[in-house]
Amino acid sequence: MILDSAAFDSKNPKLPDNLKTIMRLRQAAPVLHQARRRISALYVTGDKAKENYAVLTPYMEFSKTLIDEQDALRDNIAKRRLNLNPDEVLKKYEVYRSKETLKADLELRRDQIAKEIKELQKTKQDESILQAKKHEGVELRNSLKSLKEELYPIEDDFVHNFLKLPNGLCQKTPVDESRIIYRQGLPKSIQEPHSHLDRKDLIDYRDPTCYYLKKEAAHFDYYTPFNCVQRFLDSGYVQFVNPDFARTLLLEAASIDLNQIEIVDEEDIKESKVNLLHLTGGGSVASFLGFITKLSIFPTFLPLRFVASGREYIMQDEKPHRGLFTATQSNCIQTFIAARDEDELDKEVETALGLAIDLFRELDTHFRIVYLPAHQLTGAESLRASIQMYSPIYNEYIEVGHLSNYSNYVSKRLLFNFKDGKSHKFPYIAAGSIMNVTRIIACLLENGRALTVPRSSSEKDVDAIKDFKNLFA
Amino acid sequence: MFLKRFYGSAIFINNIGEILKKNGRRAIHKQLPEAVSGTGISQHDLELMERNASIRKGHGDIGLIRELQSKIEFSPAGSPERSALLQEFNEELYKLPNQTHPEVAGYGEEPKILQTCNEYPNFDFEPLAFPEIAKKLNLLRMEHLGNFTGHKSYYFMSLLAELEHALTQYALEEVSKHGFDLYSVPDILPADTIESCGMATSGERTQVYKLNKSQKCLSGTSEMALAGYFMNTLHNETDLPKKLTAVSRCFRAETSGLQEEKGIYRVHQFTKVEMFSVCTAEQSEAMLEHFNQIELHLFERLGLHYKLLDMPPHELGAPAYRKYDIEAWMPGRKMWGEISSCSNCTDYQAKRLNIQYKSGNGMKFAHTVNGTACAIPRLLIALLETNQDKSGVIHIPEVLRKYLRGQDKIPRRKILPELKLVKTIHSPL
Repeated sequence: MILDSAAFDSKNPKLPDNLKTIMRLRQAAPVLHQARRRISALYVTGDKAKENYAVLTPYMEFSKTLIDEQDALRDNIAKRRLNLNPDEVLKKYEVYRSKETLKADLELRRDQIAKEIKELQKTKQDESILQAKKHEGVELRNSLKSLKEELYPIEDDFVHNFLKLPNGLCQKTPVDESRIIYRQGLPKSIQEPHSHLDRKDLIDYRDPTCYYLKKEAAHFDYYTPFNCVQRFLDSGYVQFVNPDFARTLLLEAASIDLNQIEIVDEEDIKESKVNLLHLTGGGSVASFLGFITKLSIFPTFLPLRFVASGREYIMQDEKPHRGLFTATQSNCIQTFIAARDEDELDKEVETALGLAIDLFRELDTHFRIVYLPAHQLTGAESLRASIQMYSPIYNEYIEVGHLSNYSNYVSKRLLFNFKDGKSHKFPYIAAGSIMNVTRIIACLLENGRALTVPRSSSEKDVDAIKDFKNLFA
Repeated sequence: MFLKRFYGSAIFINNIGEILKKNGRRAIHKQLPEAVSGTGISQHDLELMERNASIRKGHGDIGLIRELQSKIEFSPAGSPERSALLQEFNEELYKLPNQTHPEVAGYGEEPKILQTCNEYPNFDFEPLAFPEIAKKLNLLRMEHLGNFTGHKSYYFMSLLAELEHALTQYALEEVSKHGFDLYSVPDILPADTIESCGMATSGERTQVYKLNKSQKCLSGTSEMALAGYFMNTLHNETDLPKKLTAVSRCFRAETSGLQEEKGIYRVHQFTKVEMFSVCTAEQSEAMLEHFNQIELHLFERLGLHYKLLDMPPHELGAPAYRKYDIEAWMPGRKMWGEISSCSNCTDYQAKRLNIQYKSGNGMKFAHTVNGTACAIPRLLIALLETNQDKSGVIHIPEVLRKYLRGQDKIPRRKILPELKLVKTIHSPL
């Protein structure tokens, strides 16, 4: 819409009522946004869009989250032990909403005036009315412009605080302590436990980023993903080979701690100052997110079941380092499930964990699966099934695999959707490194177990036929 | 295992003791053996180097080396100026290419075709190029990923991903039969390990990705990690050769604007099965032939039509003494494409990484040989384009089927959603 700026008369004091309100608000509003926050890649406001391309705008339900489900949010934050104040976010929301409402009113009024001017120009009626309208239009345009400028920092501050709010908790998530849902065997007592790093014939560990596996350890490291992925394929999963890099946007969407992920220097860094490139690995949770971002699918494709094997690179901040348990690079099997709703996802997760149990049982050592308590979840997880093996040297359980339930929180942020009638719906997602082969090797060695690779599909079939024949022997 | 891992030796330049104390063990890589360092280089040596550098093209600056040498001769002994010049002189020597195999030195600009294998594939229809096949069968996604997973990133889906697994396992089983030991290797390496293998990590056209936080680099090939494994080691001659293999992700920062290198032909990340050997000076030539035979056997059984090339001097890069490339015919692209190579680096990498062996009463620098058993993206292009039929189905070579749960073809089936992206979904206020 183009309004004639020459028609503006600064002496004319007549302002529309809503404009006066803006002026008042502007005077009253304190400068809230002086402290610069690290700009997020997940939500880029219009003023920064010139320098930083806004890849998408997450789907956000402000009113539902902050007002309708306020009690659940408070309960959730308390259970997660987060240092977040929902009242503050709510306050910011109210300011944001009032300004946004005002903006919408102004836009509406501006459009009306433009129409009226068009009509007046057509009918060539009273020139003075036309001039007054033009003047009002210019006033509106300027007000809208300054309102937008004013709104950017408010929007920026509120939305980024909103995006920090965690996913809702699954009912199964325990509050203070982990809850065991499956256990195979019991921890073996070992009189003189040895660190896996003592097996220098198998592991040449130099530092957290550099280690070599040899002989049976290298064999196990390569063949375990190969055989286990096959077993997932037998159960209707589709195999992927995923990219090793992921941009900041994806990590923020899934609440992945950016401090633990390396940044890859790009030649043309200007292109994406905010949306940086990270080394995550083709077997990491982030690796499937690039595939589903903005993806629109027919609901008939649901549930989706994907599996990939590859690296996972996480810089563990734990010190002192614990060998392979805190190594940056590990070899993982990553599963990704998308379902139509919560019930369907629950069933899929149950099946996937069942598969994992079958595979872990073949390792012939004690392991357990627990649901982690709320305060140990990331912001995007609503439930985390953690598969753990026991380390006698550290006298604690080590997570050697996991499958996390993200409900439709990540889908909404990344606009992964399916059409249900005319409306967009967001699939329910579960994902996780269901087997971290590197850590499994360390645990097996510490428990004095042989590194026996779980069977491939064909080996399993041969065994099944043998068992069947034995019935008649 | 190694006889000894050692961090210094008399054969390094005179002041190695002080340098070690000052800079720690990494400093060693930048130093050169006395024989080629300092002012101990004769005019004859320089002429030989010059002749070699001129046919290798783009590696080393003999003019500068001559200039530095004369400056060093006229600088006062023990002066800071002299040591700075010596340092620069050594840096320049470091950039010189390896020597060239005498047979190869006379090749001129073109590679020599040593053999071709399998029949030229004939089709009674117009064979499709890989991107079209992949699109029809919904096996690959490369579109609209730059803002999510980076430039030229890709997803292999369904049977294409399964084929990647199958090919690595096929290659690994073959090399294991020949006594290669499997290693799992790191993908993140210090810059000096990569440079010691003959790859620059800085400068405008570097192929090496740098990591911002740790200031380390991403490995371009597991050859670097495997060579780095042997850094500062001393071996018994009788323990050599060592033969190693690794399956790893390779990271290359290179980009290409060439039309024929679009799609997955040249990508930033891919999976590769690598062979690597540390051997004696007497073993390396035979080792290169051994690597080459393994590669030929692997690709022959995949039914690919390929040719073996002995590469000319200017295609050897800095480290190789001799290099064989294998190019496969890609019927859809209607082009030959490099799918594999193997190189004898003689003692070039070993000098920079300080890998030696005891020989008689003395010590010698080891030789290193490397080769590709299987580099995924291009092998997939050759394989799919060669094995397509009129109906659009891809037939899987017999040798791979046992790794694919018996599947013998890639049929058309709709198990994955088509690519359809939404622009925006408006949130309620």
